[in-house]
Amino acid sequence: MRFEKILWWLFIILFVIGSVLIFFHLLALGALAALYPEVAAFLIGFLGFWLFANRLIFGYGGLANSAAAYAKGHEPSKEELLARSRQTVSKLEDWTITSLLALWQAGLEPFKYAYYLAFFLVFLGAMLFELNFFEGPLAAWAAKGLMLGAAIPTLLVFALDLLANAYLKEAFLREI
Amino acid sequence: MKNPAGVVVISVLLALFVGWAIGSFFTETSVSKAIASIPASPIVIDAKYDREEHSIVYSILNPGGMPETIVQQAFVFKPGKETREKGYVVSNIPVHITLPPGETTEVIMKLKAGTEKLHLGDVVLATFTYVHPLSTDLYTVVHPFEMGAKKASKAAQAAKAQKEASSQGAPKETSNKKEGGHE
Repeated sequence: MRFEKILWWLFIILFVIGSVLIFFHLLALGALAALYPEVAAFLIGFLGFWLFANRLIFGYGGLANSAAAYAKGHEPSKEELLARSRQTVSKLEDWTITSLLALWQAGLEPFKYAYYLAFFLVFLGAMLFELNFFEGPLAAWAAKGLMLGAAIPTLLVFALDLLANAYLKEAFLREI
Repeated sequence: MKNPAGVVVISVLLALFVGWAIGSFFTETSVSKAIASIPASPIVIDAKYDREEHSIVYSILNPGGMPETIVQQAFVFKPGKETREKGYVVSNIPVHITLPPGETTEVIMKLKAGTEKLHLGDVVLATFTYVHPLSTDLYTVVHPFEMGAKKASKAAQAAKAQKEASSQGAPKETSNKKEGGHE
């Protein structure tokens, strides 16, 4: 929990510094991007898709952590779980811990599929360039770099989703 | 997959593949950038005599990554046994033919107008002068074309060259000679 908070603030600070730097060095950055278009596309794909994936990565990470802790015998408070999953329920006392965890997972589901759709479109674009549907080697490099940059946060989302699923199953097994 | 350890194994495998793809992508881009900055010497990979046009069509490959421009053609005609035409030289025909990188371009060289059609055994020694963007030097490619000489396979050509080398001490003439230097 504390680690997450530190990471979050580190991210915010880096984002502010980066924004200011980008704003004042737009020309220099443009020249650099023109020199290395594939690296620029890779970075844009990575940072941009991380922005979309941030909620999913921390959501599934937190879910996996909570489920693992519960499966190992730790008892989290229901209010805290509810707050972290950003859901509201009536009659909280009727909900078990695992049902709250499942609710948390269900809340992340729409974001996950919207994210996968965006990645699929980028992947499709890169493939179309690769198969020479469009002309231009430079654009093909940019499309491929963008796709590979986006692949990193996508892999994280995919892996954390699977991990959360696995720990959730262990948590269910404990309650039965 | 409902086992955390299995999930980790699968994720690590996927991460390896993604890392592999990213690494090979950046290698590929840097290598193709490096290749694109290398000028190579053009290679005449095929020559055919066009009887109706009285010209020789050369297929010239530019294996490098930079465009090259042929600025001059010249040829020497050596008569064979069957022709009554005398030998002649036509030099310094100015042309402007760009050879795109990595592609084979067809270059047509018209023989001297009014001369007899080529017969079996006639030899046309063509010289192409080309320039590339990195320097102002002129480079040449010399290609001997013998009328009626069959295009042998690479292995047969190599065997023939070896035979000639062993029987005469030195190879007679390579099929493709390249010279670099100032003219």
